[in-house]
Amino acid sequence: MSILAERASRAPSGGGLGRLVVHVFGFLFLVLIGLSILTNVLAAPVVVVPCTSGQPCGAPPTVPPVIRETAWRSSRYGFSLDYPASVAKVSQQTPSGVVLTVDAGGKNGAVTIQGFATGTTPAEAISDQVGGLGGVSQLAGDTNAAHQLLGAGVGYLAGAGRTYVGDVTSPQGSQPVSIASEAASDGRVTVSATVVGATSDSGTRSDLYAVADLIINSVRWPG
Amino acid sequence: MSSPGYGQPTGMGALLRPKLISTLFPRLPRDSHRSYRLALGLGTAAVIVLAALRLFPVALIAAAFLLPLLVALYLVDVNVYEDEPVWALSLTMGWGAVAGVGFGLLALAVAPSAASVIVNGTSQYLVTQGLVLPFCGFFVLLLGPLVLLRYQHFNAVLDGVTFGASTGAAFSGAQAITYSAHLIGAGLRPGGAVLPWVWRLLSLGLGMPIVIMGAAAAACAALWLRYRAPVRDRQALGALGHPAVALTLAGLLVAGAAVGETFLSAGGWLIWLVAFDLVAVSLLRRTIDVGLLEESAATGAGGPSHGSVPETPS
Repeated sequence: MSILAERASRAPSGGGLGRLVVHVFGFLFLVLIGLSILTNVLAAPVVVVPCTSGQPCGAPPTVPPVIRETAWRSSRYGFSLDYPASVAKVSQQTPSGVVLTVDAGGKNGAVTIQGFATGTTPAEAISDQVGGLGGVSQLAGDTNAAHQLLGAGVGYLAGAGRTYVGDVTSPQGSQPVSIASEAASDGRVTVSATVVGATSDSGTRSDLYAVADLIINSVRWPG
Repeated sequence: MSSPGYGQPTGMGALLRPKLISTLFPRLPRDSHRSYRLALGLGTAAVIVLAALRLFPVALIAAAFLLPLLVALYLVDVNVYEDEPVWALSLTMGWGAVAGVGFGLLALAVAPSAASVIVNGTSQYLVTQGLVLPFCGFFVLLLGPLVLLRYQHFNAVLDGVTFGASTGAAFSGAQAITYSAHLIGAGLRPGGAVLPWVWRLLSLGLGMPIVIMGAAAAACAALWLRYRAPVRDRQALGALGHPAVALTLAGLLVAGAAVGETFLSAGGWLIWLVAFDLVAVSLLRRTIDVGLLEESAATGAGGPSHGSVPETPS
């Protein structure tokens, strides 16, 4: 590397654009916004017409073969569930609930099943559970009609269901995640189940939701 | 052009008072500062409006391009690259964009899954994405301007400042878009809470890029000061002007700014970044002052002024 540069008085010409800077910037910025709107519209996922509750809604999604069912039981509330150990494993557990991580054909997600004491409504259980999710930013209810849960319930008991969207963030940017939560009560205990996964891995026809459905439907109420 | 002469003394108070436009764009004539401030303000307002309309992917792209676009305009406006724009632009903004895409992809590759973050918390990415990648990315982005250090044509400290800032701006924007590409595929209005999104966009579009631009510019200025400035100027910044100290400090500044994201809320991270922005801009102003005095000496005291002294507080 040469460090013997000849000193030269070199000053760039300045301010050629003058006050046009704002106009040029504004024009280019608007063009950029227009192009990004166009890109987003073209890259947007195809909107699936939402099903109507109680009406046939096409073939069910394919589910990975269940090789081995493993049982888990809440020592505090007495409910139990089964999960396919080939695609799900226990990450965390407490006497009142369990967190399962699911890897279904490369689609990752977390399924949290938690019990709540008598007196907690399914809606309250969902709010409590979703509010306690760590690592999710920009959390808000999902207003897309195609993403709503129809006939929500746990362990074949009808209950409440809600979907949310949020982001898992890092210093480099954001990645969208989808959250679906449903809860039901048998009068003695309320059980809430929440599924979280990257938006690209989630959805009503995704393997992640199919496995989560298996687990949520397997919940057996105490007693 | 109404800019004052190079030799106008700049007090310590002025050095410590951050003036964003005059610091990031040191060759800009003073009478252009207002236009650039207005453009930056309008761009920021546009990003906020887009977020308020829940057009988050569009707002993200706008935020990511905000500073790079302004830098590109500045480069054209003051004709920094003179008669050698193509390859010089390739080694600064071009290299910054390539490195940004590369580190965005790298971050995606090493990022824990959403499930892992939910289960284990943000500690999953604190070290890799919070510290290691920003620190390493910073040094990789400096490689482009370093090539220009070899050319005698760009021999002023302010050239180093401009190259560092422009490379940093392109790096930040490219990295944010690459890492968030999944968001662009989620539709025009993918949903989410507006206010946290606004904080996040301001962090990704302004807060973090300003730290990276300031740190890269200060690091390049130290290198230019060491290898291009007259011997009498080389000690002007004291220990801060030594490349080893300046590079380490700049790298730590970038990593320190980034790691805040891993344990703070969206609004908290923005405040955190503002503090780091102030440090980076104040640090850069000290090096710019040396660069301006150097050019003043090269031009001749009392000679015509082409650049501008950073604004003194009014």
